[in-house]
Amino acid sequence: MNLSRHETADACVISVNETRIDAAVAIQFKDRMRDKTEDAGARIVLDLGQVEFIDSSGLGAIVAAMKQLGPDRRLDLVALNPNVDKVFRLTRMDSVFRIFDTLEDAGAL
Amino acid sequence: MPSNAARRAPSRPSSDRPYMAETQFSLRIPNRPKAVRRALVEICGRTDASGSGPDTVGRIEITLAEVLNNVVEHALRHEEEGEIHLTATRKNDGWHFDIRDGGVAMPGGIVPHPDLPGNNCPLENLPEGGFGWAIVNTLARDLHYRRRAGGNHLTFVIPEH
Repeated sequence: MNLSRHETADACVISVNETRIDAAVAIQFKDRMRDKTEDAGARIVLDLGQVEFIDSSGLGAIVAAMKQLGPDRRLDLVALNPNVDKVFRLTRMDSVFRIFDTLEDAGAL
Repeated sequence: MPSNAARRAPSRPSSDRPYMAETQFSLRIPNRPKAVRRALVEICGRTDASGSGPDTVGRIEITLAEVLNNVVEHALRHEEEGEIHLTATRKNDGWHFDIRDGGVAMPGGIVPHPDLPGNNCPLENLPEGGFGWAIVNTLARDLHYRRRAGGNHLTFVIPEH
């Protein structure tokens, strides 16, 4: 599970350099997110532009990644592909996360 | 039962051997998450080659991921070398799926119908799982589960618009 991180003026951007977040890697994703965000600031932006598919385990891992940030930090999502977007809408998780089309829209360039 | 033609089909997709347009295929999927992932990639390739659009192929992949992973994580959880038998048939109204395994029965003998968390659910109470059957119930039509001959048999249709 390859995640990379860079800082912008207002956010810590985590890019998922994988095409799938599914049952095979969900726990790994959650653990890697904990490592990557441990010392991050109040706003974390997860760039899902390379991810073509997530299943409910992957979705659960993204929810878990947000919860483990605690109440004082937030996780926003960027660049959801059509199938990924579908899973968020079907489970109403699109109302839980703030979702942006691009890093620019998210104010995280 | 899988046809002979389906049995001869390659078990993995190969970019130099594109799939033929076909109206039926069968797969045997080992009970491991990585095998489910490979099967999903193959099924997407095959339904795409049959002329189904990206929206249909996407709904097939999302639904089958939940159904197949559920078998791996629950029905076949204690099997060293379990297998899922899948047959897909394209008809006028969409793709008909027939999925069988020899694992333990669905609790209560029925397909679960979990509720999704409400819009005002506080962050700390959000579930980290249990979304799978909610997704299947939304995307699949004519969903039927039967327990017979010591195994599980699930059938459903992914409509094509």
